[in-house]
Amino acid sequence: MQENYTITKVDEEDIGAASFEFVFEKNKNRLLGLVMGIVQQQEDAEEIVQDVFVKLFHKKDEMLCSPLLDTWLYRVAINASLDCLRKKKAERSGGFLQRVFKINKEEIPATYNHPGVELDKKEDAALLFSALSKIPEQQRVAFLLQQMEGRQVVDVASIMETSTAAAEGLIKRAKENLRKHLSKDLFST
Amino acid sequence: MEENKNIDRILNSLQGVGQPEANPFMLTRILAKAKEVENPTAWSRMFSVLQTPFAAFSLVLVMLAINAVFLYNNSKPSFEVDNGVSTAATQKADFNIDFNSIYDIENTEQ
Repeated sequence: MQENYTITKVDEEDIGAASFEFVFEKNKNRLLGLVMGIVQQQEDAEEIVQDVFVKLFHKKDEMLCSPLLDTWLYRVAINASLDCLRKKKAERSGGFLQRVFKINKEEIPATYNHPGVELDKKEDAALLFSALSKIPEQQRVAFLLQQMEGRQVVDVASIMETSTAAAEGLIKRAKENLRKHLSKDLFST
Repeated sequence: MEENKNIDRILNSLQGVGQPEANPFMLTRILAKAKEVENPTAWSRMFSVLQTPFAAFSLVLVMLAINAVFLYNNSKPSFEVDNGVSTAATQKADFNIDFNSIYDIENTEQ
């Protein structure tokens, strides 16, 4: 009886591990692409994606069979990315001592080249990423979800925990703001 | 017109963007990290306790209390008040001089 129980438990663990690996393989590159688009740094993006999957590992019993797994993964990844951006921003603006001693921990890269962008679009994408870093976070996320992931507005709303109308508004405002910044950038060059 | 066209082209430059390749060792790292969190070492457990707001706040309070006690003890006036006036008697005591004149020294040596 005891033996049977042990075997069943091991099987369950194996199935859990296998399905975790399956979910990881299925989602890792998609998540990494989106997170890279938000934080615009490869090392940070990899760290964030790792943390997302560590969280999933601890919740695997609850989440792996959930129909909301996809939305949950994106939500956690986006929140972690926004936290990372805020932390970086706080570090850059720095404390009093950092300003006095001019400690610059990390320079902001002038242009960002997303590894997934095709060669002929790299220049345009770099301009777009530069403009994206100037618009509000929520608008940036909504825009990237729609453009990079090809998500419908309903999906964007579900991931961002907002209404469809609000998500639509975010995307619209993102495009307007991007237009403004891009026209300024293009006009100045 | 041309500018609008350019902006539209730039705005659509992320459509159908490819997916970057994740680090091939990412899964190994994730599993190692997850297990580390599951079975924390004694050190990480101790640090996690110290990182709690309650522990940090208590430590700060203890440090402040120690400082307060130290300051209180040092600010207590001593019983012998040094008013800065030196008399012949105090100088004698300070420099261990028991002689008032050369006559005393001569008499002592004898």
